[in-house]
Amino acid sequence: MEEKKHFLEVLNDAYGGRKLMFFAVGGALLLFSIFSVSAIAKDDSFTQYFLSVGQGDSEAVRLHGGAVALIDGGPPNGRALRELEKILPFYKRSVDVVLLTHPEEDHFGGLIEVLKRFNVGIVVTSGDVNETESFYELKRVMEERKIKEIALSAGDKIRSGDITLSVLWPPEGEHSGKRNENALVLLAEAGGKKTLFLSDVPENIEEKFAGEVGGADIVKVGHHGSRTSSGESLLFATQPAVAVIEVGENRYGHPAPETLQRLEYAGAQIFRTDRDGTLGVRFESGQLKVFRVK
Amino acid sequence: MPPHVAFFWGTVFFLLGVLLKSFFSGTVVILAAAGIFLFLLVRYFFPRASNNTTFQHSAECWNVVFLTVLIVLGGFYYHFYDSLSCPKAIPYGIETTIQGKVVQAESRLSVQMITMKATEPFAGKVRATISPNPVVRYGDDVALSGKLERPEAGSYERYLKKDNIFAIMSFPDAKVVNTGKWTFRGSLYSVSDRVQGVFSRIFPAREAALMSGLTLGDTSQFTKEFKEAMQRTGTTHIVALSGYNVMVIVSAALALFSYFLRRRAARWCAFFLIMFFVLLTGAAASVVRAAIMAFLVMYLTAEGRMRASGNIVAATALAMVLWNPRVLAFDVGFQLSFLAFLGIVYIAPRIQEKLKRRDLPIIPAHAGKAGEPCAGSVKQAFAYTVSAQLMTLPFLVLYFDRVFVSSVIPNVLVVALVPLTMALGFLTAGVALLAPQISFLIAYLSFPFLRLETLIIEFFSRIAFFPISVNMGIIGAILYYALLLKLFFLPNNKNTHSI
Repeated sequence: MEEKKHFLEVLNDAYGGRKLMFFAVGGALLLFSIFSVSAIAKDDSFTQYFLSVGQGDSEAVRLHGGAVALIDGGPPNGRALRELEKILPFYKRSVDVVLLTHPEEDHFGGLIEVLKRFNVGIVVTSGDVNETESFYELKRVMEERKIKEIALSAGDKIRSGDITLSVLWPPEGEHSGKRNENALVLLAEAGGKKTLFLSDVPENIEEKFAGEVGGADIVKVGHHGSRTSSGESLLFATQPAVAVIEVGENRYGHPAPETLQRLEYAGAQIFRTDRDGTLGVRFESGQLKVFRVK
Repeated sequence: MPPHVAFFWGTVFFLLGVLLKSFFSGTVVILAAAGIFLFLLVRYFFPRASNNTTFQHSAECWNVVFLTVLIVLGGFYYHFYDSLSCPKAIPYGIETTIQGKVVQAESRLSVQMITMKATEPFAGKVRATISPNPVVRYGDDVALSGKLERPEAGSYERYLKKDNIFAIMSFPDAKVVNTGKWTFRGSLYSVSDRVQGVFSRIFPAREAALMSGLTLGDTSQFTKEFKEAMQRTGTTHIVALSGYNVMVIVSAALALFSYFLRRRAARWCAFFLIMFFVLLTGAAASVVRAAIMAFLVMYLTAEGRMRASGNIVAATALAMVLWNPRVLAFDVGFQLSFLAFLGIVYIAPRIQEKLKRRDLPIIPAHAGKAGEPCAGSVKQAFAYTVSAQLMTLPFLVLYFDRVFVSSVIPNVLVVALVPLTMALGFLTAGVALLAPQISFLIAYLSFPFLRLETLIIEFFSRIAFFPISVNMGIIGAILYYALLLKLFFLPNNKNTHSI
């Protein structure tokens, strides 16, 4: 009767006695991966990321204790997912809050893959809807993954440690017929530092909340740098040190030369995701640092 | 001619007839002339009978007739199949709405690729690139509104033709008319989708895509950059679900079951596991072929009947070509897979024999005797890689323009890691389907290997050097394979098997 080999002998024959080396290398790599590049996991400072997703918007805000808020997901080209995974450690497969500013495909298209692959705590919207196939798919995925949805309006806040995300627009119950005018406008604050996320709201809407901002260190420029957004009154009120334009290849002429001029006149240093890629902005020792994420 | 030799050469010449008719709109004269030419070639290479006497003149004549008839039969078979599967009434270049059932649906990062079998009054299949929404699944009835185009003449047209696809549409308006009813194949795809979903939720996108490629042969989630990196490093085959991949699964399954069970029972368990794997990948023709070949060759190796492996390979090729004769000339995956498999079966043992008596520089001198298993896995990976690349070289140059000499190094490194990665991938999928809460623990074991493989591929693609860009031509390729036949396929060593 044939003598049965011990299981380790079978493994040894299959892998040539180098299993110890494999496990050692694997263990070392695992440890390296855990402690390797992970801006959010190690970082305790107030940091936001402006993801390079092409012609669309997507930003990530680090919250207290390593939690993450994702504002919009860009167009459905897979880039929001890819860029998000660059800034998260490999083991973090959750996004705590997703904020969908308004239901245009260049803002929610990329969220579908994110919702499928990450565990998402809650989705915050303005309550506005769209009637396209892709929006229905987004809703279907949310239902399938049992993700709750909540609509917020001006005055509502999300607090996480010393970081506050405030909704500046739209007011409750006030929705116009134009989707861009109903978009969520958010202000992220921590330790006196502020970042303003303008989504796609036009200048006439900006004027309605400009006075409440009271200065912002960073502005995510409205509507990919369109000439109808980031008006003079808002820029005068906020006086940003850094202006980030999320833009890609497009046939609309974004960012408009007039907008770039206004930003320069306001004294802001301009960054663009089409040229600079995904950007991180962090406050360290009282200084504002902008860095590329590769 | 002994029966097993007759079967083997008969199959080869039948397939040759199919191949010739695939390219030449055809005359029997061309086929007969090719048969006579090949008779001369075969006469030169044909092995002598075991009694060390040559064939009698009349027997040789009958062999020639037999083989030439099979060439003609092969040609006619192709012609017969071609005439039955021609497209009907496809309105090229006109805006139209065409309805049909989805027979293949692939969801990529920013588009969907679907193949639709058109319904009356049209006949034939249409390949369409559509936007990510509405989501279209296997079995759905869809209506596509747009312009039908003829595929551009060349390799892409032939690639589509092998699947009976005669028209393409680029971003038509797609509407799901009816969602598909339950089918067995549809349910298999659902399980495959669930497994992919497990990987995508546990691993980052790049590693999830690689794991799906290794275990399910699905490359839909690969980015364009990573696909190019794999081409530059010659590692595309690891996700092709070729005979090699399935051999890995077969040998691992046999090793595992052999520990617990008797040999015969272990083989049956391994067989059913492989069948489950085939079903999981949607029972694609390439996977079925690879599974049958790999399992039977492993079985024959265990039984010491490796000499029959040539007939096994021939029979499998014959079965695939009888099902769809276009795969022989137009399915790159079929060609590369078979060639690589032939290389592994016939050339790799010769290379391993040569390496047996040598220690490789990276393996310490005190690590056991030369040729012992401690060195075996690296030497085997090297032998498999070199033999597969030797066999596929002319085709790689033909289809991909260049082959990088430097691709041997990443190939050896990655190929050595693939078996364990695949095993852990299947384990992750199995645990995740049954107990998702603990699946991440298993996944963490495979992540370092996945990360290492992607790093190797990306690193070596950046430093790929010594591209070979040689236009061998048909004559050059024939001479190349004639040389390989002489060096590796004909018997000159009692320890190695041959045709």
